[in-house]
Amino acid sequence: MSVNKNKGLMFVLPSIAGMFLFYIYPFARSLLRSFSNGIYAYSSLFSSEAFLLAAQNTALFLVLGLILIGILSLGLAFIFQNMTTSGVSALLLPMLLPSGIIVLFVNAVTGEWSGGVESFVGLLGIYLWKNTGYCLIILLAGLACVEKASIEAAKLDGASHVRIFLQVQFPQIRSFSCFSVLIALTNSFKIFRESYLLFGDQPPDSVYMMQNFMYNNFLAANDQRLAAVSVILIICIGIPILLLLRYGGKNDA
Amino acid sequence: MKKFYAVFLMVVILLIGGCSTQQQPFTVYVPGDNRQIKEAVAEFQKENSDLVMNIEEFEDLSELETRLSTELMSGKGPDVILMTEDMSIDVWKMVENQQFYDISGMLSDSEKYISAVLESGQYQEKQYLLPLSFSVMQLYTSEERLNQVTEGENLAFGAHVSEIMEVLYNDLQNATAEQGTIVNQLGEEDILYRWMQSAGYDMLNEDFDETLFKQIADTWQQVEAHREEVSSIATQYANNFLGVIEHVTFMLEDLQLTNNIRYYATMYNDQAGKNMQVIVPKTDEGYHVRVTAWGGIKSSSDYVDEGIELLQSIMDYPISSDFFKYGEEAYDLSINQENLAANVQEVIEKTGRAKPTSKELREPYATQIQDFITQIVGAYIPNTAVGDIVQETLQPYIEGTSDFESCYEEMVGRLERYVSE
Repeated sequence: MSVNKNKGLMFVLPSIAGMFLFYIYPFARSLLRSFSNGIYAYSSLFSSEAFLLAAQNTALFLVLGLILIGILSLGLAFIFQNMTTSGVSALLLPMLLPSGIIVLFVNAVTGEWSGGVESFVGLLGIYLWKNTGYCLIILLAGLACVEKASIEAAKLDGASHVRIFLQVQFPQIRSFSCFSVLIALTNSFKIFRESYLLFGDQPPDSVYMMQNFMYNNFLAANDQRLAAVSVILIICIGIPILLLLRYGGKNDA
Repeated sequence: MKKFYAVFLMVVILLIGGCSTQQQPFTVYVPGDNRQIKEAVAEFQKENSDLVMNIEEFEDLSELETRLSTELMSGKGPDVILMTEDMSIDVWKMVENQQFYDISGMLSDSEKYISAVLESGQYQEKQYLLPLSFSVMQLYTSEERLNQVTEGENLAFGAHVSEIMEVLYNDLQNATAEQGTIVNQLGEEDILYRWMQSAGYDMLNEDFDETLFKQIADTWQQVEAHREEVSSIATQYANNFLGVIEHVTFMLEDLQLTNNIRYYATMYNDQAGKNMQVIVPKTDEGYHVRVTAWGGIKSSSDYVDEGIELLQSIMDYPISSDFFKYGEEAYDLSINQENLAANVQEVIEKTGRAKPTSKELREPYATQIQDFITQIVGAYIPNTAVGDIVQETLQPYIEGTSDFESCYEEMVGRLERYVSE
């Protein structure tokens, strides 16, 4: 028994070491750095208009983006569930396109954005365009794993297609949907590339995100503040991710 | 009294991150190829032969900035860095974050320095930066005051704008006429030298560059094509606005002729006092004076002292640290908020009278207006980010697609956001 336990430990050791080296240690360093001047870095953050604006915009973008991408990918999954994988995989193309090309395309189609609410909506549109296909493929993979018998049984009971999708198929792909939300969440931070190419490092207020704030603080070599933001972000993003993992980790219904 | 000023600093900074040890070289980061720094280091090494010096030159400013940021994040960094006004790193934010050493105790003989200039590198009474030069721009509202402060300098300020313009355009015409000869005889040293000298190269101490020379020669043709328009705009500037040399410069900037204009500016400087740059065009409100004193460090040369004296005498204020409270006060946009708005609008309104009609000149025109406003705003927030913000937010107004109030509001909003970053 103990031999097996040791073997098991040996197997997970590289993983634990990697976890410490690449996650725990940098986080601990950031944490210490953020407090190197007492709580000044945190107090100055929360009195910074730029930080509050960035936090507000980022939160709004995340909430709207995740809700919309969830609805869109689920809706499309419902429509495309019987299509071949190769047909659907074309939806991955926007994700593969380099940011520069996307920005060129957007500029060519819509012209320059003036910086109002439409910029925020436009950025949200780019995000949805790039990521919906990816989430859709994850959901379709989940749907392919759903037991056919349960669907047939529901059909025999006279359930509609929508009802079968929502009450029979969806509960069975909970882990897949959680994973797609997780991917969508992490990808939402990557929208900074497009934002930067479109608006530069000082974008209009409506699209001033946390990444802009962090990038500008990096350029200003303001490492204490950067460390403090990282800690706050990890806490704010980490909690929902843990909840998602916990929810997604439960056995699918 | 209405006044505004812009101060530009060129500073040497001692970084806290990389205190040298005997094992590690003493590292100096230098933007571009700086001969003076190399000479200074060579001189220093003669007396400190045991110290290993490492000068790293960066052709690309952004590369320097990225490297500096990255190194500081990991607790490293150079010992000394030479910073220029066009770097985007915000020095005062870094000072506030304790990224620099307090070098107060290292200045062995503070009497060697011009105290007011030295104070411009202080924050909360500690010395973090060592300014190498600075310039101040100011508006004088009375001719009497101007005459009083320039008495004995033999400068007929009121007439200078037109004099400069006349000399400038005569020479442009001559050079244009001469162009054919010059281009045909490329390679003949005496003619080239004469030509390059007229382009200000001799005075700028630059090495001869044949490619650049050919480019400049080619641009004469373009000047000729727009000469009347340039002349007309320049005359309007001369009548309306400050910094005529700068504005003529912008019009020719696109044609790569700035060195020629610099030449005249330099000649003009010589009249004003060798190490001083004084440009005084007349405006409706009074006289805008831009003064540059080179050298935060006093030297034994007589003219430096004369220059300082002149500088002190022509300022409506004595030179003092009141000018340089960037770190503590200038970030507060509420200070002189009203004046800032008025100044920015004034620049746009006045330059608008001389708006170019040709497509070729429109872009440099807009760029220069934005640059000028950046200088004004830069007196309140000294950072290159200001330039980007000003350029982007005022562009719609300059293009006539938006009104001034909303553009200005957007500009101030973004500046405030930048300050709070």
